[in-house]
Amino acid sequence: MILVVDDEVYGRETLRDALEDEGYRVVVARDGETALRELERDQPKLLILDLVMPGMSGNTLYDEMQRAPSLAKIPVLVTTADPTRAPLGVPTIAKPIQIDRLLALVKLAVDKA
Amino acid sequence: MMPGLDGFELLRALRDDPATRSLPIVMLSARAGDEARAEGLMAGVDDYLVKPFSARELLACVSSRLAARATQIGRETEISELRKTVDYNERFTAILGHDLRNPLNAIMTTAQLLQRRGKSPDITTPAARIELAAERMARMISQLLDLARLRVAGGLQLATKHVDLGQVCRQVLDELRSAHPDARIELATTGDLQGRWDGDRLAQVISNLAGNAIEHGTPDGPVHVGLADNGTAITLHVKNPGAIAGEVLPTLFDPFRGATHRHEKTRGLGLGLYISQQVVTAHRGTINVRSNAVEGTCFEIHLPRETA
Repeated sequence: MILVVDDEVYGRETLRDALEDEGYRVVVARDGETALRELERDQPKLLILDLVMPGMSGNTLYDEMQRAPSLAKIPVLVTTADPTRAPLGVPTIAKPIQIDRLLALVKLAVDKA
Repeated sequence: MMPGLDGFELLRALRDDPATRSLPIVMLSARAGDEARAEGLMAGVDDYLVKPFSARELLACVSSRLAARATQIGRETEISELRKTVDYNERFTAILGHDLRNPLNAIMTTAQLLQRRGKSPDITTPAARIELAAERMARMISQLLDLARLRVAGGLQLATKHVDLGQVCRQVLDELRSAHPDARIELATTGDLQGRWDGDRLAQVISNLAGNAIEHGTPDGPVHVGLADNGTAITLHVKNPGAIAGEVLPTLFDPFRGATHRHEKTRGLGLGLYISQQVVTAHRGTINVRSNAVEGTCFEIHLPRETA
């Protein structure tokens, strides 16, 4: 399962469609809090994370995950309009997203896991 | 001279207090002569009248000081209003840029999804057009954000590291070739092209110059990009056979040039060259342009290897 977290509904649903077209099972969340609950319920193979969101931001969620041993090992792919905000060393895709590139990085992360 | 706090002490106290710092003060004193007058003016009085003075003299002095103060207050209000407007505009641009990008991202990814799913050009061609138009808008938003950042920070912040400019250039030109399959783009490089720069920003400059050359040059004319090792610096050329109109040349690097010279070919905001110039300047480099009907157009950038 791949968890997609983004507060923008159309971008989020398009990513879901593109990933489902490739045969992945996808769960979506609209903010950091919802994502954290999903993460604790069902561990995804990959988390695709937007950074700027109302409520718990992507950066805060990422920091929370790094503090929890069970969540720290989940691979993360950041999508953001401002790549300078991305946590250091985390694979990042700049928005607007190139779907081909995103799918290539997703495949790489999922194959490695 | 007064009992208790004397005139000069009172003056100092008034000038130290922000509330009375700009209050016009006329000093009345029995001490005549240049020295006494200079002492008063140095201490911060606006006028120094020597006793005995005439009522007319005092009234003239008071009314001219009050008029000057009124003008000053008007100017201060105007400056603070302008500052608020500028501040508001900059925030507006930054927020708008960020908030616009999210739905634009959705448009572009959805157009890509349509192209992936579409089996026939009936679907994929219009979907590709949506993506291209959205891409153009994304570029404009990026430029507006760059401009807003430039104005807020007073200059570009560079993230410099070890960079091979030849590699940066090849990557940019590959991207341009895939976006413009019909364009002829030639690259010539000589020597060592490594240095400490902000590679992403320089990629933006090369993409802007070569992109302009493709869009504004003669349709079949080749675009030449040259990178040359010049010892402590690198020289970058972008040439194409088209000429830039003479009246446009002097203001070519001005921001929002496109808004004043609207013609059909102007597709952007007229910010690309301005931002390119800012990037080059932030690297302590120079950018120049030569253009005429015989030789075509040539942009030349001189870039020191070390920015610091």
